[in-house]
Amino acid sequence: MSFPGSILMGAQSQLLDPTIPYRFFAAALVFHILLWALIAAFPADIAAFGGGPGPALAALHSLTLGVLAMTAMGVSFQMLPVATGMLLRGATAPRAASWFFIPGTAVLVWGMATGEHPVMALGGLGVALGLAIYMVLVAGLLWRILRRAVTFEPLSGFGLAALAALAVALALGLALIVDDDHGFLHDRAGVITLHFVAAGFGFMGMLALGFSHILVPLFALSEGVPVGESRTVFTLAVAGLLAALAGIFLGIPLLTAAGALSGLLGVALHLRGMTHCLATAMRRKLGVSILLMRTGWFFLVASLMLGLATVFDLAGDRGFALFVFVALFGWLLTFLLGALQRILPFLGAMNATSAGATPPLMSELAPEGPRRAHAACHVLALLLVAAGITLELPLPVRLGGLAGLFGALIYTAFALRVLWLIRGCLRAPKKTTETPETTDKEKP
Amino acid sequence: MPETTKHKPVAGDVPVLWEAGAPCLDLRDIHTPPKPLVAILELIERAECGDTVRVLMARDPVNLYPELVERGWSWTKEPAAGDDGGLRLTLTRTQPLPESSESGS
Repeated sequence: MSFPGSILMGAQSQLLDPTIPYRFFAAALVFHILLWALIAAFPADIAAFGGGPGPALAALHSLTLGVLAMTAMGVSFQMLPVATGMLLRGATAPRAASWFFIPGTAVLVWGMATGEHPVMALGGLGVALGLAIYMVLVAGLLWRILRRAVTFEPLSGFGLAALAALAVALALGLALIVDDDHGFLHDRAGVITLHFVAAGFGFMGMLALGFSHILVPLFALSEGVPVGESRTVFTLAVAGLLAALAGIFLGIPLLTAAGALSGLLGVALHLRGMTHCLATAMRRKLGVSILLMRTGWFFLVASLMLGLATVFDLAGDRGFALFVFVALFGWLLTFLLGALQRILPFLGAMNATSAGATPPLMSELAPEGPRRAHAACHVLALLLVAAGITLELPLPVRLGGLAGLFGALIYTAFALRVLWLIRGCLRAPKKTTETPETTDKEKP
Repeated sequence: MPETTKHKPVAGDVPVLWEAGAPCLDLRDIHTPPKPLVAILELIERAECGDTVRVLMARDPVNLYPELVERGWSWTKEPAAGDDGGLRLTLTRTQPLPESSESGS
């Protein structure tokens, strides 16, 4: 897909070649379909999942790497420069990250599904290289933002903490792949828990909190959260994550529980800030996307409470599996899909206007009907699969997988329609007039 | 240089200045996203802002333009005068505020 157009005054460097973020989003859409298809096709494996290679592990990593990390990379590469004015140094490195990460994830998921260790190792290598490039690029950008800031900068604070957690999660993930073949880890279950907490709550969780500070005010047109409040949320979240990881590593349940409590306090404060931000915003009608984001927030609280119950063995035999499902699917996937419902049309409209074209109105780009249908399917899928995991029954899992698959197909159609409309308006005759050298005039 | 006016500030504390008969915002020192965007949109949605608004920015506000299209405004941009650098935007109302399901204000 080509996106023609001339851009003046630095917009070009803020807006990457659109094929870079969209390749991550396109890959995430494919993995989104794949994960629900795997759940629908192998419900017994999902309902009784307790670790180890197989369709359930493949579905889990289709979500974590294929959808969550994939989207995080696309959003970070494109939205950070747009929101902060700090530019990525060149487009080759983000492209290289995609060359390693996208096929690496596909190979890793295949290896996990079939249990072939060399395939898993090869996929893991690709994922590691892609994520390493991503970490270096984004850390450099966040560090420059931090140096410019005169006070606490929430995006950089949460972002750098997320990248540190990603490094830990990545190292543990690679160790688990090697251990699957060579068996050198003394406490594999403990390492799996550390890997999950570092990746889910550390990397994606911190990133979600950090991006919420710019994306929610940006979508709602609000002034954002006061710096002091952000700093407190950051302190509580980081302290909670460190305490939880240390408690799991040292085998001290009380320390892990203290971490979960600190996280709960931080989340409560964060949600208060977000609620205030939405209540005082210029744009109140955010449609179903904010409904999904709020649903994600509900599951965030639920996941922390489930985690707390799991620490004290109060959540039953399937408590840990449910905890993982609620955190990854209920919170992170739901929140991300809600945010992406607005990011995709917004990004498309930015690409169009910066190229001198007039984009369709947001209401035309992102009609409510398909978004509502997707949201209904998604929430139904969450409830059914959660019930299936809790009761160890394959039937609700299969039905939930089918609902999720249907919702994923609707979501993909919605995203493709956005891209199609933007592509169409970029190819239409431009309404832009330019005066020589310095002035760029645009008329909607 | 734009003159100070008695207009109510936008986005909390951003003063609305006045230049050549039109309101003007100097947002070059505001780097906290999305405050510059909110300040501009809050000003153009005020009934008393008129049909022209001038804005000084540190960089090209690529996230502003889709919002201007939604609200029926056009824009021109040129380098800001002086040594401070940045960008000078002139926003012009081209049509009444469209009825949009996205705008709740």
